[in-house]
Amino acid sequence: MKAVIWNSTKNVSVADVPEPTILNQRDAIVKITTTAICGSDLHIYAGDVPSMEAGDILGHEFMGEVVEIGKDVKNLKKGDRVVVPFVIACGACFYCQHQLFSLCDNSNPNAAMLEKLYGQSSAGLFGYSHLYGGYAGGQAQYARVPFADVGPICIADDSLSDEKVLFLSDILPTAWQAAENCGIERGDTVAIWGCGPVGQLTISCAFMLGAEHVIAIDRNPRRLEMARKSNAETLDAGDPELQQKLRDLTAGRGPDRCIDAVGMQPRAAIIDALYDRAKQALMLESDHPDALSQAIHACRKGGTVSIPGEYSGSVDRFPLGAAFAKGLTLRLGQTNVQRYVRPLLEKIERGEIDPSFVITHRLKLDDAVEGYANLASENGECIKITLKPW
Amino acid sequence: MTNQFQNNSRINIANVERAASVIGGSLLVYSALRHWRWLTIATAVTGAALIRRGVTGHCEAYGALGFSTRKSGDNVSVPYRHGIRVHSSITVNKPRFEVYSFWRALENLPSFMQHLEKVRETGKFVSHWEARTSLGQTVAWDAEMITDDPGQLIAWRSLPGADVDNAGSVRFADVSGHGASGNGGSGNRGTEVHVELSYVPPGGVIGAWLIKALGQNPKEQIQQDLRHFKMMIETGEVPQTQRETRKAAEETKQAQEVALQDASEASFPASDAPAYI
Ligand SMILES: NC(=O)c1ccc[n+]([C@@H]2O[C@H](COP(=O)([O-])OP(=O)(O)OC[C@H]3O[C@@H](n4cnc5c(N)ncnc54)[C@H](O)[C@@H]3O)[C@@H](O)[C@H]2O)c1
Ligand SMILES: [Zn+2]
Ligand SMILES: [Zn+2]
Repeated sequence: MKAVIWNSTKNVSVADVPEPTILNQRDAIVKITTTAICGSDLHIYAGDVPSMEAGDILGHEFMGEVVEIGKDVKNLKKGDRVVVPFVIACGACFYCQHQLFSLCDNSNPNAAMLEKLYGQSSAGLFGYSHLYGGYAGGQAQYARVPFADVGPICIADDSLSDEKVLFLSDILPTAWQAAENCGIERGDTVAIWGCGPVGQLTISCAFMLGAEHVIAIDRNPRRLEMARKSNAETLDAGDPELQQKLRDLTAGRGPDRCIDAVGMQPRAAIIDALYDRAKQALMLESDHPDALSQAIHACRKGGTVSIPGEYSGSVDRFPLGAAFAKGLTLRLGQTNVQRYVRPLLEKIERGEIDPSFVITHRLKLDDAVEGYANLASENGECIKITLKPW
Repeated sequence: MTNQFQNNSRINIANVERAASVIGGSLLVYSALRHWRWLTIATAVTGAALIRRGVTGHCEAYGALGFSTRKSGDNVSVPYRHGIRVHSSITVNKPRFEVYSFWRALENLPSFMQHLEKVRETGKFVSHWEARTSLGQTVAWDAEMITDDPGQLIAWRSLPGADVDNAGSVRFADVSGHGASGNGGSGNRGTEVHVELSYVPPGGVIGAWLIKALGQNPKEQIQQDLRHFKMMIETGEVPQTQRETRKAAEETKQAQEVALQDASEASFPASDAPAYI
């Protein structure tokens, strides 16, 4: 079958690889009808995710048709149309039973590695490095889905297009959890750093959860334009007056809730930021070059900073003092996808949200290499790319 | 905790056999270590046993148990301070009796101890164990259960004549502060499983040195087996991945190297190195 494989930093290719087979009785094999490239894949692409090996199949946002099931999978049958959460969860451990699926105790075969790094291991993920289990990903024609009786959600209504439901696999639940973690109260102003697909959907979710104003911040004009279509006010991340503008928009209080939908920066961006810092130091500007620092600096006292953006290592110059002085609450983590798929599918069915608006490019799987390059380039025009493997 | 073993045993194996044991045993340990992900207690123990036979020129079981009520030296499998001792623990999200019962059904053990082939109960408290090494050899021993306190404690030791002298215990407890429910332990936060294992480090000082030099960590091995134990009870399976894409990766790499060479030959004599980073 065809699949997108990782070779080395900034080097992916479409290769012919063996098809997956059932290994455990709770597995299913899914023939993929639509898949996508996520902002998280860009961290891998940039070489910022440790424990990738040449030949690893990428991708964790996918859906398709069940073509084979293990004998312990009772809730699915061949022919079912399913969306697959990017988090692999057993459904039976303490964490799964507390709806914290991304912290599953039992789905990561390489738990020992992650335990060494972080003290405890978390769930296995599709196509997301060996630390997260070394599972083959979904930018392929077929994928093996472990614990298929827990993760995949059936889409019974054939009139719902793949594009409308695909993002239940990751970015829609991620956006929802990001907004929910804020504890938004009616009348709140929510500021969101990063207007990638996650940021875009977070704008919608924040409004759905009762935000009065949403301020979206990015450098990319195309992305800011999309954010304005969702009724967000927008600010340029590079604006030296950014902090002042955020205060002005909130009569000095600062946004009640701030969301970092950017995550760790590719190396080149860090160097830019260091350069910015040097410039700012000379101009006696306060130095808050990255999104998370800016969010903490801007947030109102007693407010919440929610971090869906991904981090894997340590962060330098983290403004803990500001967070402490202002009594902020920080909420973060990988999305507990399984917890949100059902209620969010219902919202899609009722027409309350259609996440497909983030898609700007529809490519064949064969063109994935171009897709990655465009998505990773600073001023590429792509926002979200879907891939068709057939 | 690892204690080195002091050996003053008699030689009862011929020199040729001793040499063979050392070489074979070392190979076993070495091979197990190279494939560390699959390494479990049983493999290490097995390779180690062969080395011990060779190095010590002596093969005989030690009696009795460090942690039992019996006195050390009195028929112990692993005399106190004379073996490698490891302890490890894990929390299982199931009621205490269920967790105990899964372990007590000894034939379940191979489902989470990767190198155990088979455990068969041969009598009321006696069982026969078989393990397969990374090199495909089978080693075996008989063990007796010396404590079976339902829902609380299981303890065993190998019987004389074992390929590997070993002893161990598993203790089950409700997660503290919760679930002291008084109805047989159905703690609502699950069950703590505490394992103690000891085995005679094969080859005494040299064997222990070899194990260390090769970076083997008995504690990590038992921890991995315990993880699998938990996975089996909670989910009915141990997660697997399949990885057959190395070939594709190799082919891609070769193709890319060829393309790069062609490109640089085509652009000769331009001297710019390709910009990759
Ligand atoms: N928590 C989870 O489970 C989860 C799930 C999906 C994605 N993620 C993470 O969420 C983040 C966003 O994902 P995405 O798909 O939208 O990625 P993306 O790369 O498409 O979007 C990131 C956006 O941030 C902007 N940006 C960069 N620096 C900025 C700054 N200093 N201020 C404001 N904006 C800035 C970029 O221009 C870009 O538009 C990533 O880190 C991704 O890994 C996390
Ligand atoms: Zn993602
Ligand atoms: Zn779980």
